Amino acid sequence: MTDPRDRFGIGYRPELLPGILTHLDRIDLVEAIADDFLNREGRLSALRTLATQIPLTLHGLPLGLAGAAPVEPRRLDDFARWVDVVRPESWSEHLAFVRAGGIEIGHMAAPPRRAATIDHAIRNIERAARVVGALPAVENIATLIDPPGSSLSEAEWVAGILRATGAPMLLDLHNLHANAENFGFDPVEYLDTLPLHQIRQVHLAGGRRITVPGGGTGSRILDDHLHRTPDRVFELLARLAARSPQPLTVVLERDGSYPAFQVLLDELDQARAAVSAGRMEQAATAPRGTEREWTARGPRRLPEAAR
Amino acid sequence: MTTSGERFEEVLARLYTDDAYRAAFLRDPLTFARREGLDSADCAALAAIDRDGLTLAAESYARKRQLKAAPAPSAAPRSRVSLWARWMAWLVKAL
Repeated sequence: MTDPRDRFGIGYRPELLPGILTHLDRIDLVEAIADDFLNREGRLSALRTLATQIPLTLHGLPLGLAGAAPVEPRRLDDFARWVDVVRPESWSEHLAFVRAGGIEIGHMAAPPRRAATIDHAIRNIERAARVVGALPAVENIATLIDPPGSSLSEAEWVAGILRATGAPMLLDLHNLHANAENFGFDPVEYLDTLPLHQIRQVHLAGGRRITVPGGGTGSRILDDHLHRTPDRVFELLARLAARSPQPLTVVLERDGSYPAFQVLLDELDQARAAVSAGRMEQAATAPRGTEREWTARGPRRLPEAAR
Repeated sequence: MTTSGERFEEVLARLYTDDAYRAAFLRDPLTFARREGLDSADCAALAAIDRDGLTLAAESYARKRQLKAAPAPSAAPRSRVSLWARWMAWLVKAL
C-alpha cells in the first residue's frame, strides 16, 4: 500500500528506451539528464515527444549550484531553454561545485560545509529559480573525500540550504548510504535532521567498494550507478516513507552494465514494496485525530467525530 | 575580485585534476597552502585533508573526464522488444 500519489520511475538512458516504451504501464515517469541534450536540438525535440508519452523530469549536472562562484548566466539560459522546449514537470540539480578558476573537475565535488557555502548555494539556487522559472529540486551528492574546511555535518549543511530556500529536495539514498559508510555517520539521524516535508524526489542506485591504491588504508563505496540497489538503501527508503507526510517520486538510476530490463522493473517493484512498508508503519503510528488515515484504497479524511 | 571561498575551491579543483600539483601539495600541505595565498583557517584545513579520499576522488574525476571525452559504446544487451517499441524508438531517434 502506497500513497496513490507515490510514483516510481527510471532514469532515461538511450539504451533503456525500448524497455521503457514497452513497459509504460509499470513506469510512472522518466528522468532525463539535461547534459545528454546539450546543443542537440534534434534530441531535445525527441525528448519533448517522449514527454508526451510519459511524465518527465529534467536532471542537470553542469550548473554547480553550491559553488562559491556564481552560476554562469549562459548555463542558466541554456537550462531555461531546455525547460522551455521539453516542458518537464520539474527539474533538479546537485548541491555541488563542478568547476573553479577555469578548471573543470569533470563531475560533482562537495564544497566545504560551512555557513559561507550555504550562502553561496542560496544565492545560486534563487538565481537559477528566477532564470529557469521554477525552483530546482536539490540533490545531495556522494563524495569520496571528506570535504576539507567543513564545520557542519552534511545533514546540517543540506538542511540549512533547504530551510533558507524552501527548495524541494531530491534525496539520493545511495549517496546518503555511501557517505554514511565512508565517513561514519548514521543515515537515519541524517534523515531526522532534514526538513522531511521538503523531500519530494528520491534516487536509488548501486555502487561498489574501491580500495585506496598505493598502500592507503581501507575502502570506500563508489556511487557508480552500475550495480543493483543494495538492501540497505531500500531500508532507508522504507524509513523515509514512514516519516514523510507528502508523496514521493522515486527514480531508479542505472548508467551502464545494463541487466535485462525486467531486472530493473523488479528493482522498481522492490522500491514500491519498501515505500508501502513505510506507509503502513506511518499509518500504524499516526496519533488519533490526525486528519488523514491510510487505508487499502489510499488516504481518506477521518469523520468529524473522530478528529 | 576572487573571494577567499572561490580561491579555496580553485585550489581544491586543481588538487582534484592536476597530478603534479597534488603530488607537490602532499609533500608539504601546510607550506603549499600558504604559498597559494589561503587564509590560516583554510591552510589548516588543507593540512588535515583526507589523503585517501583525495587520491580516490582525483582518480574518479579523471575517469569521468575520460568518459566524457570518449564516445560512449553501446552496452545494451539484446532484448526482446515488440515491433511497436522498436518503431517508437526509431521515431524518437529520427525526430
